[in-house]
Amino acid sequence: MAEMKVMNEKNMQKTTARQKVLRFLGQGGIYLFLLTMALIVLFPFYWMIISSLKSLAEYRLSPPTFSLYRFW
Amino acid sequence: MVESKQQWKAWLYLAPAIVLLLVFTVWPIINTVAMAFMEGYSGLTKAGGEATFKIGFGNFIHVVGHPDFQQAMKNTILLCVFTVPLSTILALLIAVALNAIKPLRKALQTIFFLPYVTNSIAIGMVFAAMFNVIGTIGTRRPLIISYGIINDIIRLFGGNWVNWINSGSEYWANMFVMVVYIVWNALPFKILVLLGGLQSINKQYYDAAKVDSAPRWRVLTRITVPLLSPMIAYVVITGFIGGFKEYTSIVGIFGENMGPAHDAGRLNTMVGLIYDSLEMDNQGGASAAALILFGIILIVTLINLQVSKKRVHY
Repeated sequence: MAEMKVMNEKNMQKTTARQKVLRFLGQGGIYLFLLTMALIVLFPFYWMIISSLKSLAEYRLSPPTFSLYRFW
Repeated sequence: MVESKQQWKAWLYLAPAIVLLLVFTVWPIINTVAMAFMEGYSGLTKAGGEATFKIGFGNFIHVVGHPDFQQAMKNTILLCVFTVPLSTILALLIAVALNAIKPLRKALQTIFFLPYVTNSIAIGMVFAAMFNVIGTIGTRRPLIISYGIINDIIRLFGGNWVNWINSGSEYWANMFVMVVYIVWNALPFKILVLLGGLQSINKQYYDAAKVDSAPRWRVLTRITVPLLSPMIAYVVITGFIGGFKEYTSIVGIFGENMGPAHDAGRLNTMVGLIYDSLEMDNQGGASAAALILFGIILIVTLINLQVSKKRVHY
């Protein structure tokens, strides 16, 4: 009987704090995964729009440019 | 139900659709089955007035023994085997993740649906431009003007550049590009179906799991996937059927010659073979190949349905 752990106030606060951190990490992980996949899905569109506005010489640069600057 | 006096109205409303269906779907199917058994049939000579053909299985034997056919079979089956599981698992993960967040959900749904509203050949050309390497490759001292954005990203992380789709590229590199593009194309529809299925799951199951404090992994595999299994079965079956009919994706990336410049036709698929036979005025061979494709898809679908009888819980 003496070894029974009683759920006092301190115990309850500790578990909820830990649960909060885990939940935050879980949501953060989900967001990270979703944003990564969204970037991968969006990348061809972005590349298409950027490349269509570049001049031919700028398009052929070997480390490519990701923002536009006028090459002529 | 409609009273029998008014039933002629129902038939009247159905009549245009039935006529179009008969003329443009049922009659060509019957004609194709008939043409597959005519050897030596040529549409041109028939239009000219005389057509000689004899009935037999010669078309089928000719098609199956052709080396192009075996290459096309290998390409089609490899594409299916790689793209369907990959896109289904990825779509499942994304749908489950989308279901679990509240704030940015609609914006992310829009973003993930974008590949579906695009033209597959236009975006294929964009992918080809991303993987394209400009310069002279394959000579003793290759002079590269531009590696292409994907190779630049690889070199940024310290790797070696790869010849993806140009002249001299290897088969696995071509296949990798095709798998990436087909998965990218197939993802939005699957996410839509799976997300719709997820939102129709009763919340009480999740509440029961929360009461038992089940870990997230077990909730996923023991509750979500079994309850979602009808949708997953539908997605897998239509994925396989669509995968066997792949043609426009390959044309979008490689152009009409279906392969890198030094080995045209390397990545041809079954549907590509059917179109090529039609171009060479071999309607009998094209019909035979179409019937063989139909038979293969039928067998694969029956296997899928058989497996889903055991694994799908309704």
